[in-house]
Amino acid sequence: MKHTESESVDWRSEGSSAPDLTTGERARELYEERIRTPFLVAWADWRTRLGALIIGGYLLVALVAVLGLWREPSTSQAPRYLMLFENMNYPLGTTASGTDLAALIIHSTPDILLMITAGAVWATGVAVAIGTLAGYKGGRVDRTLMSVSDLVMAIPGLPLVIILAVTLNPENPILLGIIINISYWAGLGRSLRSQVLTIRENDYVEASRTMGVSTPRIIVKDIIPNLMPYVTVNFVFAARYVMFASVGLYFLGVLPYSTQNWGVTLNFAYSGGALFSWSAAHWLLAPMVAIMGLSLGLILLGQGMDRVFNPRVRTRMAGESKSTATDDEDAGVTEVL
Amino acid sequence: MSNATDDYSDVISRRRFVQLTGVSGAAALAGCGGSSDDGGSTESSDGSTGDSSSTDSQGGSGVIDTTLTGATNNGVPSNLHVNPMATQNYDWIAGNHLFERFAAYNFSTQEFELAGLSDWSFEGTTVTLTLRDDLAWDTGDAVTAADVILQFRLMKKTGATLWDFAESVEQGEDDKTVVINLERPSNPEIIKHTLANGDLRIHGYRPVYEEFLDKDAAAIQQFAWEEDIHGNGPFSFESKNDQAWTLSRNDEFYDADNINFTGYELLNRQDNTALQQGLMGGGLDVVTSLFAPPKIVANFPDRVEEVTLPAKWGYGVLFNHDDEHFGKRKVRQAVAHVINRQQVADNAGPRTKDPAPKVTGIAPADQESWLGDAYGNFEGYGMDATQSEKAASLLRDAGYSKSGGTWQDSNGNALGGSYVTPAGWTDWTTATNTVVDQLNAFGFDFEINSLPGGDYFGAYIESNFTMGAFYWLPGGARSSFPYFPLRWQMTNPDIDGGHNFPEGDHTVPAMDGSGEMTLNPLEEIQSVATTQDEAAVSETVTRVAWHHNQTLPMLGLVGKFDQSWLTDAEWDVVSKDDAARGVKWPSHWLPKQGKLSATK
Repeated sequence: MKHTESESVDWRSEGSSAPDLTTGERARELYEERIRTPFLVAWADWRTRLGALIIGGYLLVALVAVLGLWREPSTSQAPRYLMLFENMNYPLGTTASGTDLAALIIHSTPDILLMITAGAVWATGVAVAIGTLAGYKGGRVDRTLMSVSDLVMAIPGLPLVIILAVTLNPENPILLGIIINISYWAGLGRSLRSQVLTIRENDYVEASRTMGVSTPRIIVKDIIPNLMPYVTVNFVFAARYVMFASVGLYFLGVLPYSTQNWGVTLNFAYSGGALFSWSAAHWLLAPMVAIMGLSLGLILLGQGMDRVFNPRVRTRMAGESKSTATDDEDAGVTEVL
Repeated sequence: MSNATDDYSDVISRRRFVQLTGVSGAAALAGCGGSSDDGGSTESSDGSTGDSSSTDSQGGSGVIDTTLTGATNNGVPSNLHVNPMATQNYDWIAGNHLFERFAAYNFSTQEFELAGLSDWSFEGTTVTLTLRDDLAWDTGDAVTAADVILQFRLMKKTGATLWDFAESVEQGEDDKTVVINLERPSNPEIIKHTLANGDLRIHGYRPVYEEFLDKDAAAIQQFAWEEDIHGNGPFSFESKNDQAWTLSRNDEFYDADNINFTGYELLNRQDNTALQQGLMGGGLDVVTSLFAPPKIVANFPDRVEEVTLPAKWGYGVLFNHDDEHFGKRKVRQAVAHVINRQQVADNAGPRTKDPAPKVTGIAPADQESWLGDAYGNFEGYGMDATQSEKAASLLRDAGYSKSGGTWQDSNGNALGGSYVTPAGWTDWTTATNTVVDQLNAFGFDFEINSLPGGDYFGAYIESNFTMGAFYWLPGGARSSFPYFPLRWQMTNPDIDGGHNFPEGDHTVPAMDGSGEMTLNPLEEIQSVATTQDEAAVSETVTRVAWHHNQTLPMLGLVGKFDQSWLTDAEWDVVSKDDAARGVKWPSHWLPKQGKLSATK
């Protein structure tokens, strides 16, 4: 992330500088500042719009599954090997054992969403906690935390996950998400620490410190907001990693088949010959499209959210300031993706 | 599972593989799909053809300098060996080419065919085996009774099945005759099946094995025979490495004239997909045993021929007889009525699965011939239907009631639990999904508990289960003789009898429909081993099968077919109606019969 002069002022503090506000005004201001403006800024970008629509779509699908609006997947519930749209009762077709593919996809969605959210929250949460604390406190705390991070980073991630998965046999999606990202926080924590090292030297952080503001408050109010663009993008990364890793592990047969998952569906399709036959290709394609769609939605949303947290782009788009930058379209978009 | 030929070899458990091999296993699995079909196989086979042809240039007239390419999926050849008594890392595919067998069971003719033996005779407590005069080691030395006796004595140390009946072995009238003295008169069928079973080969090469006679069983069971390998089969050991076993035509083999090609190479392939791609792309000429689903078979080129052979093995349901609900006969019968076996077979593999026509404990194809007139009386439990009414009435009789769509006992506990299934056996997982869906649709409350290899067997051995998937036939030709499966379902040695089937007398409804009959099924079936009167054997088998039909020690759902593969583009393969294809495995049996030869 690039940090320019204009960014060194915490945009969150602008509103609260006005004196003597009534509760109503304060609430309105809070709504304006925290909800409406970010929403407008975000919505102004087509990536966010599309990303949000896609993720919203998946949430809807999850809702369909949770509310039981679509039949549960079950063997022999339909003719075997129905093709895509061949029978509109089973729009995505059926598998070799006559299971409705749409039902398989739909009923896997809630668990996948839970899993990727849990994994991403775990990875970014721990990383932010460790990274900011280490970066801000420095000294022994820093050395200890970073040594732990280095140690965790040195453990090969995938084999560790495989061993944990085989040992624990996790079926709870939340636990599974956390296991998959068990060591993901280490690298992210280290990068965040580097960011914090630059932010902590800023004037306003210095000011807070001299005023005697407590460390947690400085971290939460002064430092973390500046890290948000980076955190958001990595949140999305972490979520995608959970999804891909879980699908891979289910596909390899490392995770228990008992749980319904797109990876399990892929595995069955693969061993059922869907790779070699057009008449079974939909069996392979349906979970793949589901995986790719969710991944695309997450990426687009991540890109769009960057605008919300990038003060320069945000204020300009919210009409609060005029940018002097000429390259207005992509200036604020992180190019890390 | 000790007997590789009869094992569940058609599906690789990736989960177990990863568990055993850890990280490198995962990497290998991840990489094998890509590396297996890159053409490396054909190149390496060409390369070694050159090598083997140079050593085999003295081969008989009409021998073509070419290599038959097969595959092993037992592991990396450099880590494997050919000592059949050390089951760990024994490559039975290679071993079966190097060593001749005593006899073989032909699934087409349902008869035994002698191979390394020229005769076997059974008289009272004596079994006399006569080795072929021309059976020789590839060194040129004859295979003698002393070799076989040495092997049998070593097999006694390892607890081989033969010694369930045998008391001692000794040389007969000459050095080609072996006499087995039995503890008591035994049924010849049982001895024949034991001698012709799976991978039992004549491998007791004295210069190598003699030293183990004075050592304990562990020594022979840990001996990896990798050097100085001398066999008596159609092919001889040349070399092995990470990629392949290289075998060459054995000039000393008695039927060497039938073999008109110089080499046999067994490439290392790790999973089913790699083998399937090998057949598809032409990299492999034969594959001993490989499961391929219909969509893949349909995509094989015309040169690929499939030979299906009954495995006498298959998916069944195991009950824990100590369970308070499923220990009850009526509950087990209700389960049997609910499960639609035809649907299980259709879902798990319509071409390779064969639903048991009746639940008798006898392999599907053998039921009618063994049960004769009584067959009609046996309860069918609806092979292709879910008989909900019958099941419901049985459950009501047993004191259960249905509430909120679920069957419950008098305390309101749902009738169900976890249904154990092996992780990674993909067709079994499909079968399990089907069974559990059917049971739950009827009102049971089961949850699938998919366990990796060790845990899976462990759960059964420790009786830590309610119900689950388990093979209901011990597998191989011997399963066609009901003594083996009927006894096996009660004792289940593979899980140490962890299903807790109660020994002793059992009372079941009488076969003629009036009154009851009491029998000790285990004792009765064991008597078959020492009965030589065929009528008495048949009667006992029927009685015990009737008991199994009523009591359900296990619930047999489907039998399966093994799929073996040949290609005929560069090879003359005997026509499809030739009975020789009925011996396991065609890729072993046909070349030495001259029924799989290089095209001129």
